[in-house]
Formats: sequence, C-alpha cells, structure tokens
Amino acid sequence: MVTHAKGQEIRPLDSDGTPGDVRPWLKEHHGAAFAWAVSCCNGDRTMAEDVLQTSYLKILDGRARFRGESSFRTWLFSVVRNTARDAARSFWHRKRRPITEWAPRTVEIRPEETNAELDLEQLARALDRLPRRQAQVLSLVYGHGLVLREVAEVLGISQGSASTHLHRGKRRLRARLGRSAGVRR
Amino acid sequence: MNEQRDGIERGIRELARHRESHAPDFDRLIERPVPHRRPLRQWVWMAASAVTAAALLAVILSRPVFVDPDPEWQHVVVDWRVPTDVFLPDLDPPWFSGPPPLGREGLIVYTATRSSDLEIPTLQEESP
Repeated sequence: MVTHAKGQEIRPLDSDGTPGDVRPWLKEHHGAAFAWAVSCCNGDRTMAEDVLQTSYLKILDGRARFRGESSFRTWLFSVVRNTARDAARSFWHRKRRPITEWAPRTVEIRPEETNAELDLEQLARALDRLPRRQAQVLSLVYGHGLVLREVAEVLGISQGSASTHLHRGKRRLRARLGRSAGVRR
Repeated sequence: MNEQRDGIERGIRELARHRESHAPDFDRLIERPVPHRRPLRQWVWMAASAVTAAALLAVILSRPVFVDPDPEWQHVVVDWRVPTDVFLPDLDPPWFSGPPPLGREGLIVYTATRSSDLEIPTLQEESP
C-alpha cells in the first residue's frame, strides 16, 4: 500500500505482484497530468494529447510500473516528462508550432488575492521561451504545488539544482513580463 | 515587486488550472487510435541505408570482371616480333593489339599489376 499525494492509499501492485487497476488513479490525476503534458510540450495541446495517451498506454500495458518509491502523481508526471522528451525528438513534433490560441486572452486573478491582472497567453509564451528546465520547475512548483523534493524526482535532478532553476526562472520570467508590461498593477 | 511576483505565481497556477479544465475526456483519449509517426532518425537511417545499398550495387555491377589467366603474371615479357595476342590471348587490352612500334624490335618487358590493368602501361625496352 502506498500513500499518494492527497493522503489516500493506492495499491500499485496486487499481492501476487500483478499490476493493480491504476485506471481510477490515472483518471483522478488526468487534468493535472494533461496540464503538465502541455507544459512539457511547450503549449502544444495536440502534442500533449499524444504524449499523454502514450504515457497512459505505457502504464496500462505495464511498460511503466509504479513501484511506490514516490507519490503516484510524482511518478505519473515523470512518465509524462520522459514520454514528452522522446516525442520532442521526433520529426513530426519538431515541425509543429505551439498552439496557444485555445487559451483565453486574459484571466482575472482573484481580486481577494491580488489586484494584478495577468495576460495568460503572454505568460504562457514567456514560459515557453524560458529554458525548458526553468519553465518546468516553475510549472511544477506554482502550477501543480509540488515541493522541491518532488520536482527533483519528476525531473531526475538534484534538489539543489531544482532550487536554482526555480529562482533563475522566476527572475527571468519577472524581467520578461516586466519589460513587456505583461503584468499590470 | 512582491505583488508582481505574486501575480506571476498565481498566473502560473491559473494557467495550470485553465489547462486542466481543457483536458480531453480520459476514456476517449485512451480508446482513440494511437498516432503512429516515424521518428526522423528512422527516416534518416532508411534513406542512408538505401543510398549505401544502391552505391554498393552500382560499384559491384560496374566493376569489370577480370579473370587472371596466370596468378604469376605480374612480370610479362612481350616479344613485339610476334603478335602479342599469341602470348596473351586472355588479356586483350587494346594497347596490346596492332603492330609493334616502328623501328623497335626485341623483347619489351612490361610490368603489370592488377591495379593497372585498366591503364595504359609504361613500356620498358630490354635488350633482346
């Protein structure tokens, strides 16, 4: 039995060692996994769907197995990242351009939290222009609420390296958005 | 600056939530046909293999088949007083046919190698 990110228990392997039914757990994390796949695919929704489907099939047919060494979500994110990395090397995906039109032009940030209004499309573009590692760390920490230890597990890097990427990414993103007046106060 | 930074952090969270809300249906995603795309590396390998195979085939087919009548033929003595095709009936390069050079008689030593079989050889005169 393994405790996953939200404190619930899952059984990745049955007592006889056969894979348990992970479908419900995939379903539960489906939205977050898709958002993470989009981040890994530089905002390309179509590619993200392909990557996510491939990741799920890997898991369902046993090519990728959860061994309980981390939370289920962390493991799922690492599978998605590896699949996206492989897909990014292929010719077809390299020829594609990121699709960001499906995102709304602007989204109000909740007024009780801040009075800032952010252009999400601009933010998405600025994130895509960051070095991949920095963008991924920012997405995992702020977008998905992972702690640095989990970020390090997903990306296969050290915690110190994840921390460095986080701070450099934040600084660079802030400078870019500040220059282009993407954040208005 | 802090407000701006908070705005960025919240913006990234909002972006993630927005993307989550646009996730495709789980069951439809699982059940749809798997896209099959051949990676660039495979195309490159296939093209390189085809070109190499074609080049090798062309080299093999264009190479003249040379049947050596005598493995010890590297040193060939040609007597220009006698028609050369008597001595070298199987080697029939055009430069052995025809009459001997005017005013030259006697033995002419021709050193031939396998690699020179398609080139006009250097003739060296030797005392008869």
